[in-house]
Amino acid sequence: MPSRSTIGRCWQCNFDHAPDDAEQGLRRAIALDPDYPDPHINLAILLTATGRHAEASSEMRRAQFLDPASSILPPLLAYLHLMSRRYDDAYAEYRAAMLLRYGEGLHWDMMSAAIGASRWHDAARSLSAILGEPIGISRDARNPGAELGIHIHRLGRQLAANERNDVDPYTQACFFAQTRDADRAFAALDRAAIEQSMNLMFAFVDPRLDPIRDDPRFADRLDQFGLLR
Amino acid sequence: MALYREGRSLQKLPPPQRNCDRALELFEKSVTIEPRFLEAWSAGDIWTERTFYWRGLSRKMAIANARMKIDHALALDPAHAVAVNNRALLAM
Repeated sequence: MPSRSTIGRCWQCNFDHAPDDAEQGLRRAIALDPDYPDPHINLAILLTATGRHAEASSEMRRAQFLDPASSILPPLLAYLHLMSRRYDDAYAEYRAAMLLRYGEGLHWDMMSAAIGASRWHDAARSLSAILGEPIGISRDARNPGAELGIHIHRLGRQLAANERNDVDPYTQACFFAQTRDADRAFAALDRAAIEQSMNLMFAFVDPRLDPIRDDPRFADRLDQFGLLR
Repeated sequence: MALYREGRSLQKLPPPQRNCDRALELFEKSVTIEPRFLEAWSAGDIWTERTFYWRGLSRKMAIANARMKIDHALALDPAHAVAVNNRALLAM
């Protein structure tokens, strides 16, 4: 098992890990060319990861105005909505991204958005796509969330049985956190650091990690990854 | 310029038709013909984008390629918005 310092170094050598410099650079790029959408998008990502959601939303709106036909915006916008806990908006954007025929990988985050919005039947559709088999929740189910939970735990067992799968370890960490399997969630977070998952920068705000946020190991990991603010 | 434009149009297509590998080939040809063609150097934003999605060793390679292209572009013009944006992205 890699040491704490190794995990921290792996993540921190990822990019320069200097968010203040990044923000300064992105604002300079915007000043140099106010009509160039990319720095607005990147600034929105950075602001979201640091919990400045209102400013991030403003930057994304500007990017959409500048490039309304952009094919990269829908999944990104969906993810940023998910990070800012706007689950209905996130789900709507994931649907838009699916119409653009983005890959199956989106189903994981789409499922999280649907669960956050208590859209159990929509979550079941995403889960069906992940499991590769139809998942049924009866229309008159008294507790559709609990019914879905049974299938979600089955997916958890599949993931746990095959750790060498293709699912991004950060996504796995979120999934295990949501299913209250803290040990596997932390192990997956460590794998995400070693694999230099870009999504790790969102750990500070990601609502899917809320169930393990009070665990002392979580603050420890944020410290290791240089994400404590 | 024609190679660059063709590359950009391939890069801008929606996901099923988008062909970033071919776009990069065209940008490389552009800078081979005209080494000071700033726009084609700044097209390293494909590599910058890949640093978000690729994993493991592929991601390290994407970061190295992105840095090389960005440094070239900034050497040609330190105030080029695309290169400044991409450099800032790698500072995250």
